[in-house]
Formats: sequence, C-alpha cells, structure tokens
Amino acid sequence: MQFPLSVPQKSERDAAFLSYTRSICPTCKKVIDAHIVLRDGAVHMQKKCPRHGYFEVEISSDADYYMKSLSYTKPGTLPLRFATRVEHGCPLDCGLCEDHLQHTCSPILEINDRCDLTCPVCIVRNQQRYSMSLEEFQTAVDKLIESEGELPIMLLSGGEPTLHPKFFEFCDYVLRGPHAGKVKRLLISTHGRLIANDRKFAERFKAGGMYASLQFDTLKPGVYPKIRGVELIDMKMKCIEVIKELDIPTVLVPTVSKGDNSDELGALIDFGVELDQVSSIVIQPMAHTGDGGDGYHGNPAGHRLTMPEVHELIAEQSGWLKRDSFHPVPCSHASCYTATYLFRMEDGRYVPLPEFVNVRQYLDAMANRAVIRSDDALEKMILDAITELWSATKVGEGSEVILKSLKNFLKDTYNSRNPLSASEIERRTEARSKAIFIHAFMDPWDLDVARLKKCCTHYVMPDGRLMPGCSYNNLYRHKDQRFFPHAEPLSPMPVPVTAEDRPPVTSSPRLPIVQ
Amino acid sequence: MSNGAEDSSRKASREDAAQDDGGHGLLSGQRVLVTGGSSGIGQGICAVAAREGARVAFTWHRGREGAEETRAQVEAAGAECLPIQANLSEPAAAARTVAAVEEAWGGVDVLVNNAAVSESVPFILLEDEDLLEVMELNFMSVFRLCRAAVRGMIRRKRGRIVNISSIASCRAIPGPVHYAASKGAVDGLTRSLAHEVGPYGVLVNAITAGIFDGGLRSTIPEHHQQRYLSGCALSRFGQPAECGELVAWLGSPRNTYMNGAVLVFDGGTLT
Repeated sequence: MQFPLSVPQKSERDAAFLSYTRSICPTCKKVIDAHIVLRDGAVHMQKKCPRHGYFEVEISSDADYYMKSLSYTKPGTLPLRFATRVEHGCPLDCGLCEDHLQHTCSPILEINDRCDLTCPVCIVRNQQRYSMSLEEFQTAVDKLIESEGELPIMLLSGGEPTLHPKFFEFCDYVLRGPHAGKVKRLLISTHGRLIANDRKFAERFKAGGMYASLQFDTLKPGVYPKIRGVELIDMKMKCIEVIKELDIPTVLVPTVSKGDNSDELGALIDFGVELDQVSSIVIQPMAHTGDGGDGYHGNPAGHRLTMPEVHELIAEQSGWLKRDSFHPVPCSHASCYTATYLFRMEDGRYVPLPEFVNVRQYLDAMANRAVIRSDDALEKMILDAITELWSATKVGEGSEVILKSLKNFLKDTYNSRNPLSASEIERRTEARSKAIFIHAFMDPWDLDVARLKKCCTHYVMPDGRLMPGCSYNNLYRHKDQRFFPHAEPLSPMPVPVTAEDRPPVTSSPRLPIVQ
Repeated sequence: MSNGAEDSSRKASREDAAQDDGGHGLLSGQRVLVTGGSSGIGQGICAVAAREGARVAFTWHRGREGAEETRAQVEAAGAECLPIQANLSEPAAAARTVAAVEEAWGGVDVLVNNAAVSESVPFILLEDEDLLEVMELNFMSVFRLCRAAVRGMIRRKRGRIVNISSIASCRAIPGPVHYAASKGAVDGLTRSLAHEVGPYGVLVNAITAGIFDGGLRSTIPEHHQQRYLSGCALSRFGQPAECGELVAWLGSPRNTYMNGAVLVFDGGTLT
C-alpha cells in the first residue's frame, strides 16, 4: 500500500462568482452557459464550449461601477405586438418574442448590403448583392409602425444606404408617406462621401429633413487607413463643411478601437459640441463581429474598451467631463448604453445635466427615451434643480450662470411675444442641449442574454420581425437569406406568433415586474 | 329706492333690447374695439364681431401679417375695419387708441381687452422687471383702456366691456406666477368696475379662458397642454371663434343683466 507524499490541497477559484447567464461560443456560435465573475476589481465573463474550450473576456474594467449600474433598472415598455413565440429560449426566438423585456426605441432598417468601403472594423457582412425593394421597405415600415405606433427615431443603414438607388423614395415614405409624423427623426447611417462630394445629393438630403448619422472616427491623418481601410480624413472634413453650410442636422458616430483612436475621445467630443448642427455624439467601442470586426484582432482580449474605461478616457482627455457625468440609459441594459446630456450656458460653455440636477430624477427623466423632450419628469427635474441652486446658502458663480442661462432659455422659448411652433421649440431645445451616448455593441466574446433581453436597438426585417441588434449580428445575420441565399436555414427556427397566441388586451398591459 | 343712475340703467337696457330687435346681428351697428386682434383669440373675436354686424377696430403690435389677415377677415364679412398699431405697454397708448376709434366712428360701444403676454419662467427666477413687464400689458393697459373708453360709455349710458382673463387667475394650475397674478388683477377689476359703472348702463364681464388655439398656447409646454386635454370634458382646445361667440353675446345689446361675471370658459376642465 502506497501513501501519497502529501495530502492534495483544495484550491480556490481565481474569481468570485457574481451571476449566471447564457452566451455563445465565439467559434461555433452555439448557445452555452456563462458565468459573470469578479476578479481584481474588474468583471469577467467565463464560459466553456464542449467543442472549442474555455473562453474568458473582461466585460467591465470597474467592478464597483458595474455593480452600481445594475442597481438601477426601470420596467420596460411592451410593444403593441410580438412576432415570435417563446420556444427555444433566448437568444433563439428572436423576432421579438414574448419574453423580450423592452420595446423598440431605435429601429434599424438595413436597406442594402452594398458599400464602397471595406472597413476593417465593420460589424456587418456586406455581400454587395442586396438592395431592398420599395415594397419590402414599405411592408417593414408599416409593420414597425403597427408594433410601435410612434417612434422618436429610425435609422436607415446598410451597407451604405445612400448608395441605394431608391434612397430618397425610402426617406419620403417614412417622413411624408402614410405614416407622416409618426417618426420624429430619420437618421441615415453614412460614411458621408455623397454629402461631401455631390452637392445635389447634399441639398436633397437637407431638403428631405433627414439627420446624418455620420461615421466620424478621428481628427488625425493616419487613423482611417487602420480602421476604415483607406484615408478618409479630407473627405470627412469636407463633409463637415457641407453639413455646416447646408445646416444638416447631424449625429457624430465615432467607432473607437483601443490603441487606434482611443486617445481622441476628448477631442472628438469637443469638436462635436462646437458644431451647431451636431445634436449628439454616439461613441461606439469596437465590437469584434462582422466581416471586419471578426478578424481585426486574432483574440480581442486586451483590445476591448469596456464602458467604465470609455468614461475614464473621456474624463482624462476632455478636462470638463467627469466619469460620473455618465449614467446608464435605463431603457436598455446598463452595459449597453450610457449617456450624458449637456446644456449650453449663456457664455457658450456646456455643462452636463448631472452636475446640477438630482441624479435619481435625472435617471427617471431619461428613462425609455432616445431624445430629450419636454414632459413632467423633465420639468420637475429642471424646476427642482433651479430651486436647489437658488435656495442654496452659497450661490457660486457657476450657479448664477446656470440660473441665468435657464431663465433666458425659458423666456426665449415659451414667450407669447415670439410664439414658436412645437417643432420650433423642439429644435430650439435641441440647439441648446446636446447628448453624448456610449453605445457598446456585443460580439461573440461578450454576448450576454441578460443584455439582449433588454435591448431596444432592433433590426427591422422585411417580414416585420424585430431582431435585437446584437443577437442579429452574432447569430442571425450570417443566415439571413437576403445576404446569404445559400446559407443553411437557422436551426432551430423562431416560431411565429399566430392570431390565437396573442393574449387578450387588458386595461393594464404591463407585465408584473419586481424592481 | 331709486336713483338717477338706476333709471339710466333700466332705460339703457330697454333701448338696447329695442336696438337688437331692429338689427341683423348680435352686434349690428356696434363699434367694437378689440386689443391684440392680430392673432389667436383676438382674431377670432374680430371675425365673429364682424359677422355679427359690428364695425371692428383692433390693435396690433408686431404681427403685421396677422393684422392683415384680421383685416381681410373683417372686410370679407362686409364690416368696416380699423386696424391700429399700438404698443399698449406704453402708458399713453390706451388713451390714443380709444381716441382714434372715437375720432373715426364717434365712440366705442364695446371694448374687448384681449391683448396679453406670457412667458414660462419659474417664480424664483422672476425679477421685478419681469413682473412689471407682464403687469404693464396684462393689467395696466386694461385699466387704462377701461378708463379711456368708459367715459363715452357713461355719457351715452350704454357700453359693454369684456375682459379676456385666464383660468390661471382662479385655479391652482401650473402657470407662470406673474401671468396668473396679472389675470387675477383683471378679474378683480372686472367685478369692482361692474359694480361702479353698471348703474350707468355699462356692463363689465370677464372670460377666464382655458387653452385656445393660437396666441398664448405656444407659451405652454407641450406636456401641460396634454394634461389640460386629458382633464377637459370636450378633450380639445378651444377655438378662437368660440371665444368670439361668447364675447359677441356679452358685448351685445341682448346682454342686459350679465354684469360683473367672471365666466369660466374652458370646455369643462377639472380643477
């Protein structure tokens, strides 16, 4: 009989378990279990595919921020209809299924897959073959309006949507067709070449009333070749000149890749807030998915930018924004969207609303919204802020400037001597305020069904289904018969809701939700 | 007990009724002066007054285009029109305005004080000059116009004054404090003046208007407008011409007993 030389010692795992979720294997895309764990002040996702092994990725560089951000949540809003049954479990029932926790705030319609750029960071898979027909587009928009009623924003994307031969007809259908007035803002996701180089196109774009959602990644030469495959700096700056000249309302959208342009966040924000035409800046940390993103880094570990890192970089680089200027937008998951809203003061400086309003009220007022608008919650927040600032024992110079700015804004906007229409008031409010959003898309590495379930950024399918952005990009896009006619169909397939499945409408349609 | 003033009042009422019998409209032959007639409720009052047979004078300040539109509406109804550009915030403007109508037509039979201003500013940010600016037009001009017009009315022992007030004057609703205070002052002026000049055949009433299309509606944030609609039995905003209909009756010779009333005119809203 042999005795071991030493007794085996049990060891501890290297991380503390926080929660369980489901994700996918980055290699085969099969749905697998995943653990969210805490280690060294950061948050990681750990998962193991039976065939392809163990994967781990950092999902938040700051565990404290992560925990705090999860503590705030609001009930989602039910869409007017669901399209698919709960059959296989998230994320395999997309369309939306009845288990989805949020309606559509930001619908995306991909009207083509043709593009004249091949960006190394591109998250889609352009096959250069698909152009949505006008009939398909109309059906998709009709069904979307049927699901949502009204929409604060809609985004046309691609491919490069401005290359679609019926681009303006599509825009007209949304803004002036049978649903005129139902979509408040129509955004066009574009690289901006046609606006920069084709005067007639730019003038028609302006006349059409669309917003340019302009990919705008850098202010320095040498960066675009890395992340967009070709130098675009001159074209982008020319595009900005045209936007200024024609007064085209614009959203700047920098895609940020760690080490490539992550040192420019402060400069990009300063550039954006100084442009009257720019209503918001949407910073998108790079997601490693799609034709470009999939291969941009062999292993994205170490190349990711998580939400708190982006806040930190902005605070470091801007000098006037702080980490806690940013808060999760409660309509989506805390790890998907954060934002800060800025108010322009009399002296031209911008001040983040969280600096002078109650943060809890701020989060309530910003719940379930993609754009700032006048309502009871916003008014209460502003009035309370005014009262707090005014009644403070010490009124600092900053408080006085804020109070004077707010008063003059109200006097100018709601004054019978110069009556404004509702749309003019909205426009004036928008000119006085700006928003900075951080929108983190997921890739196969960090895909988390807990985030998917609350997604409010949805791709609109021609058959009217609504696919949460990151489930579509990671699980459905490469099987979409529009782009990949020879792809094997999805297995299992989402099951459509039939008329019999639809629950009776009750006077209180909200699902019970425990906060 | 009887006195001379009461006799005048009864006589004037009988004459008014007789005049009404012979006319083709509620305001047939009446000389009506409307302040703030280039838009909103004021424009609606002018149009209805013209339709009801009045000669219509109205004041306007900055809205030349609106004034042209009002003139066109009045003349299209076959009525004489006298647009007067006036900044009623100036103390002397009220007397000049009444004098202009008296010079053109010999007098003012019906005075409608409609011109007003509002701005959505919280109480704690209001300064003296904000309050004074609003009071100057919303209340002081009403006081001065009444004083200027009532002289001829008393002399003729017949006249009607209709003041356009607001539900903000009598209800605890969200609204600028200085605006609500100015309208509250108008309500008080109306009641007291009615008592003082009623015996001389001059009837004074006020309409506390809810939200009407045009005019001051634009100073009310959208969500407050929606809240108003949800509490309004008729679920809609008032139309300027609807206010014009009530003004036409209050200002007409057919109104012989309504005096000192502050009428809530809001489609039936919850307080």
